[in-house]
Amino acid sequence: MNGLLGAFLLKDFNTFFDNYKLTNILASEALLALEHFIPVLNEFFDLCDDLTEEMVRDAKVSWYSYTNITPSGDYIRAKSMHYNEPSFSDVSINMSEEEFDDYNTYDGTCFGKVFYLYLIINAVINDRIITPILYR
Amino acid sequence: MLINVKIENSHSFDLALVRWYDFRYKNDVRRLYKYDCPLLQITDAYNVVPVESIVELIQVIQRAEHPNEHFVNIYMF
Repeated sequence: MNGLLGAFLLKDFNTFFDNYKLTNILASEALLALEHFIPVLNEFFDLCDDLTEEMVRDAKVSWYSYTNITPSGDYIRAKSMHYNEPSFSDVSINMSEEEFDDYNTYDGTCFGKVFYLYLIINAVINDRIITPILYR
Repeated sequence: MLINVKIENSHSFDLALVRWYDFRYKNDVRRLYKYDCPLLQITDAYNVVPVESIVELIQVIQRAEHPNEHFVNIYMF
């Protein structure tokens, strides 16, 4: 992960971004991402049985603008200002084989926008079209 | 958003907050694809996913004069 934009404790999320917005302009994609940040992160941590609420509240969050740690080495960006324009990459995302029946995929991948990245979800496997379900 | 979340004495996660696309006409098998490209719409569904699960960049192109209809350019790979 590269291009550090900021770091904060998860419990200080609101204070950090209230202050950040006073001195920085965020693209509409970024503002939408902030609205969904806490609920989707909670959903993710609910999958980790060994984490307590207290551990998560004290977690340190580092916020980055781009990364190239994907298998393709592509630069994935999630920046409000990249050469004077917002840049939020569209990417394909690998879905686990166990979950194939839960999603429509395209050769086993889904698509989305990284919101700071978006994604797209959809697929056809072996010419069999699978009913699209976004959430399990 | 691209974030790393470090939990003291425990896990470290590289995560991407993503907004999903879905097929534009998912209930009509004949209209899932156009010109052999997936025909998509942006949804209001959001998740965080591990950055390692991102395969690669894709090119999404808006369909002319059709709001919220997008092609995935499958010819660029």
